[in-house]
Amino acid sequence: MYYGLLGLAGKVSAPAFTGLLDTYSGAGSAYSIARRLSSTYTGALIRVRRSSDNTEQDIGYNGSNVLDESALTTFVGANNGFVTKIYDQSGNSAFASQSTAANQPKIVSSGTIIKVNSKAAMEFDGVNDSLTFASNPFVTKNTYSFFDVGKFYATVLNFNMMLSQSDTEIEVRRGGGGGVVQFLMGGTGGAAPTGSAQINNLQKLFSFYRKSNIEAKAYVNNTQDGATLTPNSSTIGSSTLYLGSRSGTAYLYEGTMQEVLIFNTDQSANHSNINGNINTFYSIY
Amino acid sequence: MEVNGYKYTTEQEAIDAREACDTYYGIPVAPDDVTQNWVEYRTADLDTPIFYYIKFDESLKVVLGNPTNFEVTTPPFN
Repeated sequence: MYYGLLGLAGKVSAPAFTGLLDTYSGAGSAYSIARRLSSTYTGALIRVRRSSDNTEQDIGYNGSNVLDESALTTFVGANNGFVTKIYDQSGNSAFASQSTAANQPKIVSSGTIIKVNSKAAMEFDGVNDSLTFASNPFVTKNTYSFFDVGKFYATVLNFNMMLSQSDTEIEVRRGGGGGVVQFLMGGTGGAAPTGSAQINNLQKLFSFYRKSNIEAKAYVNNTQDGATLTPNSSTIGSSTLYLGSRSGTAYLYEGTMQEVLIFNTDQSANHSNINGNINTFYSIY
Repeated sequence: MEVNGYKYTTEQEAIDAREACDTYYGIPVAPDDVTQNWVEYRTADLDTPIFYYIKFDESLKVVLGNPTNFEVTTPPFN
């Protein structure tokens, strides 16, 4: 049995928390619906609107550094709850939000927290749900990494955006050809690996990295998906970044998301280990 | 693309429809809330003449009435 560490004053103290971002620094934005990602982050994980009276409240983490589900269900009650904002745990205040009620992804359905593999998830309806980044961590960069725990529902097989800046820069999407996942990683003149992974209704860890003009690789569940690309040296432009749509209104994502990490630093050497950290928490593969 | 919803000739009509929904649902509840509108209108800027529309949601029926079906031109997927 673990009794914790005995402090100088004789009090039992909790073991130190080490989050993903403590081990792998350099994130440009980092969101998690389900867990705290950094020991230096002490704010809320999400802000939620409840359907009963449209009041909003921040929801944080509990003593185990995971979403405070008790606070969430107490606030929402037997009604529906919607995510209005996901807070950036990287320290860069690059939150993502949605100011229109009808376009907010759901997190509580009739009093029950939506979960995938027993971890809280926000659900996008494929009709109008989308979140807008307050700032875009990819801008002016040509070296970056992206990680997303998500599940594409099967009902929208084509043209379904998990992440989008534009169709010439950054996208993770279900494209044409029966619903394969495609990664547009910038600097490649439009080329992108086309995954053949079966993704319908399955929780997956989608990730990619680009290392300047050296290489770009995409992964599903830490297995490389498509060929290694050699990008040019161009950097990413300044247009807005969206979760769940292209430009906020088109090719809307139908499915769930639980964690989104964007590093605008070179994490190519850590890519597999970051995937491993995420998988340890979510048990995806 | 066929859309089920509410179609408006002028932007002011779309704004008025949005405000009617906000008033009905009491949005925003507090000035500093993230949620500032109940629904948002879109611009069909690839159509001539340009028009404005709101996609149907069950919650809108009580405010805006029955929706209709209409065509909106969308860019090809790249």
